[in-house]
Order: sequence, then C-alpha cells, then structure tokens
Amino acid sequence: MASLEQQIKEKLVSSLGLKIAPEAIDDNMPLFVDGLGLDSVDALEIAAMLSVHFNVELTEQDSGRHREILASVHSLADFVRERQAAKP
Amino acid sequence: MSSRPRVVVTGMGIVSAVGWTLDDTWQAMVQGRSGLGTLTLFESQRCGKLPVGEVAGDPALRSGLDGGSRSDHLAVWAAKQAFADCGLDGSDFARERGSVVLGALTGGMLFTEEFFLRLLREDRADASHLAERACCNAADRVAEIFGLGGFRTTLSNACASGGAALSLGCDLIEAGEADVVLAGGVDSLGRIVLNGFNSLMLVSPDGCRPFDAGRKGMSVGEGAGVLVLESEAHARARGARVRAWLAGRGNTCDAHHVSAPEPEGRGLYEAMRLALADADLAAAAIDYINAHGTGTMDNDPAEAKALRALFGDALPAVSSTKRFFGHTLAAAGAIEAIVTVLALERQAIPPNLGLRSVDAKIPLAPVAEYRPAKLAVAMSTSLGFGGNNSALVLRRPEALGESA
Amino acid sequence: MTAKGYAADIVAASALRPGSTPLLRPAPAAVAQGEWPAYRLDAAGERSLSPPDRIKRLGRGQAMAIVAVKRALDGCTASPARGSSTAVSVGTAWAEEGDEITFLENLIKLGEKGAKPAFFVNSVKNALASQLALTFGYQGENQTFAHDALSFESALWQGAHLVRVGRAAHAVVCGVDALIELHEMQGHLLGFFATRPAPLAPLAAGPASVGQGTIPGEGAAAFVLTPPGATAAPLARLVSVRGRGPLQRAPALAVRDELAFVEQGLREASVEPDELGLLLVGANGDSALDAVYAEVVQGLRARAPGLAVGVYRHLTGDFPTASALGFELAVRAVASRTVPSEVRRVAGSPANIERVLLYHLASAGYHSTAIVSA
Repeated sequence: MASLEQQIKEKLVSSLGLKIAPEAIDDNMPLFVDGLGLDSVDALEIAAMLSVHFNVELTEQDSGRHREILASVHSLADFVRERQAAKP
Repeated sequence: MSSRPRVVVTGMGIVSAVGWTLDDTWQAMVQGRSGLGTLTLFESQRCGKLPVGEVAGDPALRSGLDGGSRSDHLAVWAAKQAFADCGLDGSDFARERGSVVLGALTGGMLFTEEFFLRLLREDRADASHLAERACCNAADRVAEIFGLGGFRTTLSNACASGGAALSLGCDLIEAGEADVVLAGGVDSLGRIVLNGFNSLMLVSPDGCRPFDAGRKGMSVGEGAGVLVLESEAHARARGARVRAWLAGRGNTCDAHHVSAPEPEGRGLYEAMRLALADADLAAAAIDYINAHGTGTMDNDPAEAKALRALFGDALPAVSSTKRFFGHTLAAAGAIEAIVTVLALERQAIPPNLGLRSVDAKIPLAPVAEYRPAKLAVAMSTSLGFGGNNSALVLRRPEALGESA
Repeated sequence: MTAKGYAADIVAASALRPGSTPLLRPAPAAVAQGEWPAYRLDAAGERSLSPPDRIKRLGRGQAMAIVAVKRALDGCTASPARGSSTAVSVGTAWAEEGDEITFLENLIKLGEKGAKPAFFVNSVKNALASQLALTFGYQGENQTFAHDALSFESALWQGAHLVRVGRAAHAVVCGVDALIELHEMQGHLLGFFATRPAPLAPLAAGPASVGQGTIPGEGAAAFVLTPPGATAAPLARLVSVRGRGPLQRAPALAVRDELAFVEQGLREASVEPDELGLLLVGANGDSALDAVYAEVVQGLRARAPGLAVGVYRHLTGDFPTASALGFELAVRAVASRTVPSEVRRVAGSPANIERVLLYHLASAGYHSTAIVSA
C-alpha cells in the first residue's frame, strides 16, 4: 500500500493534470510560487481533491493556516493524518 | 477633434432580479430593495442557501419566443423592450445595416447540464435541446425577430462582455459597418456557473456587499440588458429621442492571472484612462462612477486603487449596484450601463446597497443611500476573468449640442 | 470595411492542422455503436501541445492557440510588443468546452464537492485569449468571439479595425476550435456528421461526392496584423472580411441569394471578379451543401471564366473556425503567388495569384467572404 505521501503526489498530478511524474515531486518541494509554481486556483483544486479523495475538509477555521498546510506534500500529509486521527 | 460619428443611445431594455422593466429597475434603486433571494431554478446541496439574483417569473412565458434557452428568452425580452423604446418598430430603416452584438457566457448551459445528467445517470442521450446550447443563439434570435441582416456576433469576455459589446457597437457605427446596433449582454443561472464560482470560494453566504469591511464575496445573478446604439446623425435624421451619448470607451487586459485581478488595478486604470481620452474629457469631468464592485476580497480593493490612481483626491461619487441584481456576468456591463443612463436621466445616484462600513483598506466613500444629484457625465466599469477590463463614458444628450 | 484601400497588413500567419486522414474513435455506447471518424490532431500535433518546459496543464484549445501564435511569431520579422499596444482577438465557437464538461461530469459523479475550480476558470470562453495574453504579455484589447461559423470572421474584422484606427499597433488574431466528444455526440445526434471513415471530398465529382453529412475536425490558425502600409513587405493584405447570419432558423439556402452575397462583398471591396486569381471555398463534402457551393462557384466562374477554384476542408474537417485555416492558405497563396499544393483545385488553372476570395457557407445559414491581396 503506497504511503500517504505517494498517494497525495499521485492525486496532485491527476487532479491538477500536471506534466510531471508523481515520483519527481519531492516531499518537501514548495508547491506554490517556486517549485511546482501552483497558484491560488490550484490551491482550491487541492482543497477539493483533499475532500474527494481523502475525506478531509479545509475549513474556515483553518484559513489562517492555509499557506502552511498547502506548502508541500509533507505538510499536506501531516494535515491529512491530523484530520483523519481526529475522526471518530 | 476627430470627425468620426458620435454614438448615441436611443433605446434600452432590461430584465434582472429586480424586475422586468426600466421603471421597475429604477424603483428598486429608489427604494433600496435588493432582488437577491433564494435559488429556485434548480436544486443544489452546497449552493442552495447562497443568495442569488434569480429573475422572478418564467422568461419563456414572457419572451414570445418559440423554444430556446433561458438566456435566449431573457435576451429577446430585453431586445424587444429596447427596440420599442427607440421607436424603430414599424419604421423604415435599412435592416441589412442593423447589427446585433451580445455578450454571453452561459447560453444554454442548463440544457448542457440536463443532457449530461441524463447521459450519466440514465445512460440515455437525449438530443432534444442540444441545438439550443450555443451562446450565440440569443443574438441570432434577436436578429431574426427584427430582421437585422448586418454584422452579428457574440462576445464572450467573461464578466466584461457587456461593456465590450457596447464598445464593439461603437466600433461598427464609427466604421460605417452598421447604422443601428442592438448591443448588450445576457446570462442565466446554472449549476456550472453557481458551483464554479462557489468552488473558487468567491460567493457570499449573505449577499454581496461591495466595498464593505465585512464583505464575503459576490452573488451570482442573471439577466439581460440591451441598448440601441446609432450615430447621432442617424438618430437626428429620423427624429429619435436620444437617451445618452456614449462618448468614450476603453478596453484592456491585465495579463496577470487567469481569474484574479491585478492587485493594483493597473489594467482597469488604463481602461478608464483610455475611455476618458476617447471622450476627450479630463477625469474631473466625471460626476458619477457605476463601479464593477462585485464584493469579492480581491476585486474591490484593486478597483478602488485604480479609481484613486485616476482621480486622486477628487473622487467622484461612486457606487456599485450589484447587491440589487447580483453579478449578472456577461449581462453586467450592459445592465449597469443602463442603470448609469437612468442615473443621468433621473439625476440621482443609485446606492451602493449593502454597505455598512467601508473596508478601512479601501480608499473610497461609496454613496450608501439613494441621492438626487446633478449629473452630466458618468462612467461605468466592468472587470472579468482573464483580466479583461472595460470602461464606458456616458453623457447627457444636451452635451452633444454643447460640444458640436 | 471601406471599399478603398486595405483594412490591414498581414505580417505573419500559421496553422495547426489535424492529421490528413480522419481517425476513428469508439462512439459512446449510450449514443451509438461503432466508431466515429474525425480529423483529429495527429501524434505530432498532440506532442506540440505539451511544451517540455511547462508542468501545469493547459486546456487543449488554449494549447492549440498558443502553438499557432508561437508558430506565427516564429515567422514574424517585427514581433508584436509586450504591453498595451498589442491586441488579441480570438474566434472560437468551442473554446475550452472540454474543461467545462469535465467540471460538470465531476459535479454529477462526485456531487458538488467534486467541483473542480481550475476547470471552471478555463470553461469561461475567453480562457484562450487570456492565456495568450498571459503567455505573450499582450495587454491591449482582448476579445473573444463565439458565434459559430462567424467567430473567426468577427475576430478578424475587429483585429483589423483596431490596427486601422490606431487602437493597437499589432493585432494577434486567432481562430481555434478543439474537438471534444460532446461535439461529436451533438453532430451525430442531430444528423450533421457522417460515419463513413473516408476523407472528405468536397465538390468532388462522381461516387466520392455522394454522401450526407460531413466529418468534424479541429485546428487553429494565427495571424499578426498591422495597420495598412505600416509594413514594407507584408505577407499579404487584408482587403475585406464580411460575415453575416441567417434571418431564420434552418433557412433554405438559395443559390441566388448566395451569389448576391458574394457579389456584394466584391462590390463593397471594389474588386472585380476577374481581378481574382483564386476562389477558395469551405465546401465540406456534405452533398446538400456541396450542391449549393457548386452552383455558386459556377455562377462566379460565369462572370470570371478564368477563375481558379480550390477546396480545403479535406485537410481540416468541418468545424466553426475552419475558415481560419482556409484563410492561412489564402495568405500563403498571395504570398507565394501560387496555389499551395495541399489545396485541391476543382476548376481553373491559376496564373499569378494576386487576389484570393474566400467564401464560406454553413448549413445553418452563416456565410462570409474575405479577400486578401498581395
């Protein structure tokens, strides 16, 4: 079973239609501005992807932390783990 | 200045969430009555509670059009009003020199949605309305009804389409390509467009509040606005009543981002500057601006910066009227141009409905209440996805005599 | 377009055409059995849409428009400047409908939480023109025309108008349509498209011409316009472009009216039929439409017996902005003074070609003329 990081990379590539192999995305590579060069609309796509494929929501309460959560595959994986652990 | 023909507005027709006529629209402004309400056109789990500018009453029952999309019905209704208003009805003008230019985004989007709902859920392909999906159908229907055989097109510049259509109407008249242009815009609500804006987190749960400190986004609306444009000479020759002088326009593109406006409003500034230059007027001549003012976090400050840059401390009265009918997308530029002409005619500023206190970071003081005012020159602005900016300068008709 | 003088100089032109023979794809089971032919971009064409330096996805229509504009700029000696002096006019009936349908399908299959925001942004029709502005830095007027078979002609008219009145120093004009399954479904369900996999044979005599329906295609063409006289040796000059729509739904097409339409276009441009070297028509192999084209061509040749006539939709398939690809062939014809070899000549022997008339008629009744000269 692929690690959560690997799954996230695959879903990033497929939902955003990126022309890059999932393996080519380093866990700590910046996703926005530098690195992959994603933008604000892509951030919303990622939020939708998290909801559909990992069943976690980026809520209003998280809005102060959006940048941190979405910064890299590593931070996304941490967020997903945190949210999934909190579920009953 | 140049010897190009001056373009005047001789007729107008409108429909939106605040009503089916020009008078209904203005009455809503006078009374400060928003047309935003609950979505009834279709079901939506996520968007069902968002206030929308839905037209009340069935456009299909009022257009007199046999078949067609919701957008077609709205456009035909507005065009019929405008045509009757300008007095060309039953008149003998060269219809092959009559043009139709409409801005449109959604067209028959509801039909596309229904087609795929059936296809994906029932495994059935129902062709019954496929031919009515195209966004160019509205302009075609309008042209057919009035027998207008001249230049015809549909502009799809996102939310700046309406303004661009009016600008193109001026181009056609100035180039001698048309004598009469029915120019405007139309759009209707749909699942794609409502969920689309909502997925971008741009839609307010309590209705748009342009420039307000507590604004939470836009409200999606629908409607149609059609204006009849002619050269001044053509209008005078047939004794037409002139409603306004479309004295200048400017169009630019930010080339900054696919959906967000350039934060300093540079593209809009340039569009307004071009419109003023086109009208041969200084910024100080503007008495009122009908702003785009969608109520989103990004649009309002960018627009305010552009206004400040152009007008400095001498800002004219400003209001955004979007809380009345919502953001009517491709119709917005035309609907709001009509509101601006009404303001010039009735000598009053329509209020920036929904404003409680201006965002401290927004250097504007929009007019919050309906206010009689001496207005001679006004400007209407529209911004759209893809960084399109459109600005129009409108003047009262007596200015034509003064600056002959 | 005034009769005297030229509307604009054309200083660059390019085309991205589909593969030369129709490719088959399985029809969606809910609609039909078997396979559907269409003129689709071939492997090389598809590869060109994905430049190696770009990670983020582009819609197919956007990518096609960018490729076409890049190719046009490659051949351009005086490139349009970044900034507000370069306008962009795009004619596209289909825009990025593929992304819109992806958005809709996700909504339906996954519920509203499946709404994909990037796909909605792209489904707004001016996504192609705004991507051109972003890619090349053009901040002048940016217009998208989406009016079926008049889309490219509207964009061309407006681009020429802008440079002529001095609102732009350059106008980048593009006609583009990217084919998606929805268009094929619509065309087949409404009876416009044929299922025979053979290439189109517009205005062909004999058995090859017998057939109802046409075959859809896709492609893009881009042009750079400057004010008339601004460029010393343009590729070609735009004399006029004139697109008109029908006055009723599903009109009966009348040869007499079509001839009158073409002749009026020539008259308004002050061009005599015998000044034309080539007539290029958008006949699309549909027998009913071909019959009208054939009679119009005959009528024009009666007025100018030496007129050479060519067809080109066997190269492109049928789609609303295919006339843009025809326009590129016309530009090349006057630039080289000969008929491009891929154009299929159906009448006449072309001499030194100085002027080309393009004539297009769609089954829905939209029609247009465009005239280019050396």
